[in-house]
Amino acid sequence: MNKIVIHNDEIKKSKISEGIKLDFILKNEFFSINSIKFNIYEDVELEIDYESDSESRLDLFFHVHKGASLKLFERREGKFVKVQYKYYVDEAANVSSTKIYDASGSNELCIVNLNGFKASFDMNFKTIATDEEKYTMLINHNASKTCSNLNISGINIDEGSINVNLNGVILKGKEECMINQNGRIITFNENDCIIKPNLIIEEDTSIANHAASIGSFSDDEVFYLMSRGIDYETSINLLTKGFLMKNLNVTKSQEKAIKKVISNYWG
Amino acid sequence: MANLKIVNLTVSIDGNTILDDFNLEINEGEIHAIMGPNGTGKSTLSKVIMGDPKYKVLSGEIYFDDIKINDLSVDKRSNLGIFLGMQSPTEIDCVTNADFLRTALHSRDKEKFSLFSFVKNMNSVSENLKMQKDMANRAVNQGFSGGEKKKNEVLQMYMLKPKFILLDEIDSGLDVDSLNVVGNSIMDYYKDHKPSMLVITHYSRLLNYVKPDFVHVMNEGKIVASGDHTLVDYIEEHGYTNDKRLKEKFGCYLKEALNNE
Repeated sequence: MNKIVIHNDEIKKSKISEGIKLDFILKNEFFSINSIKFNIYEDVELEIDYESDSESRLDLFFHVHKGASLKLFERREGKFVKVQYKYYVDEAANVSSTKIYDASGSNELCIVNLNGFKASFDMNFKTIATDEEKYTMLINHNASKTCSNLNISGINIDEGSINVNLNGVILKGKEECMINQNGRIITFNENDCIIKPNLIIEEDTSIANHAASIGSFSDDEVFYLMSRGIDYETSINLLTKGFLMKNLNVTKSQEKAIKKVISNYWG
Repeated sequence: MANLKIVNLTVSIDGNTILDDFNLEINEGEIHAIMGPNGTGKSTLSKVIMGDPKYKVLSGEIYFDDIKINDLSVDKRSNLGIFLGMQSPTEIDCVTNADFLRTALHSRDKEKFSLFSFVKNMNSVSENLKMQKDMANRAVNQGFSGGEKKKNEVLQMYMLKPKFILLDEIDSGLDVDSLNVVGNSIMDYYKDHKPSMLVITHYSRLLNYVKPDFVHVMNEGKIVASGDHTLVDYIEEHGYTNDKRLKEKFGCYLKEALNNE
């Protein structure tokens, strides 16, 4: 498994195979932020552990070349981080990203360019927000038969608030593209949370779905669990864990890492 | 012991009174059936016994094994041995059946809980109920057909081993074969464990399997007639429309029905 560990805005450790070319660009007079560039040439799996003990900023670029596939797993914890992602996905290339965040504050911009015919991008993103978090995503379907699936799941606790801006663009002439956006935030506080799903579609042959919901678990769900003898607190824990573990396509060790993050809050 | 006694219970939801001075007593090992037109408060009754906080108890008492349970939370009522098989089991898309039931049994049995026995028991009951093998790893009731949902309720009943069972239209949405499996499974459980039961249904077909000792008809939030199985036959033939005749023929079984006359 390819793996890099990022500490604040620097690479602490990396173990990378031949299918990935990694460039680290230090900030200089032209670039005010450190950047990491990944060029993906074949089917690879990559884990990124991102830890920060001070407020950090970083740019991450992924170029997935023709026919290649990137299966990405990201785990983030620590202090406020501001990250800008750019994905360039070529013809018949695919990115499948699973992310679990437990950082005290985030601001993230993610731009995905599906540049090649049949390029696709799937993201399954889970966050436990204890402070302000803002995520803006822009998916540009720049070629025909491109596909994007975004599943955003947030749990809002303590001083947390989550603001998600999802933008999908299909311009005229980019035929038979597909966009799916699904966002759900479970709130355990009174802070404002926002999901804005924006679909800008000029092409009639497109298929687009979006769903967004913000709120607590339903009374019916809690009643059902409690009617089988599970107390209120355990019912909420069970629902929360299930919500964060839902639809994960990860390895056993990654699953263990996710469960460890969740257990910090829900036993 | 599993006695349920409901005394002068009045219940409302959103300001509307659903149960009105309702009385019922179910003794150990008895099977009672409640029938009645739509919207008369049958499902409300089952939810109120289970403690659904949506419903407001305005007056009256519910006793289970001589303990007043009005103020007990839903989970505590369940742990006393009350089980509600629901008409429309809730779909929970992020919790698997196995996790759900394991948590339920672990919550109740604590250190006595055995994972090995749990898995063995769940596989055995699922097989008896002719449920799909992957059911344990599917989200609770998510994507289940109507029949699968009802079988899942019966599966939970077997796993939790309650001593008082409420079945709210457990037969709705079941085809003939599924009704046969569900009906026989409920009666097999009854024969083995002798729980008290309250069965809510619209049709006599379930009562061909689950033979009630007493049958009641509810209307406008109270029991208007009670009898034995012949009352079911009467309802099948005449329906609920001739309420006065129903009361004349079967109302005398019930004290409060007589008082209302």
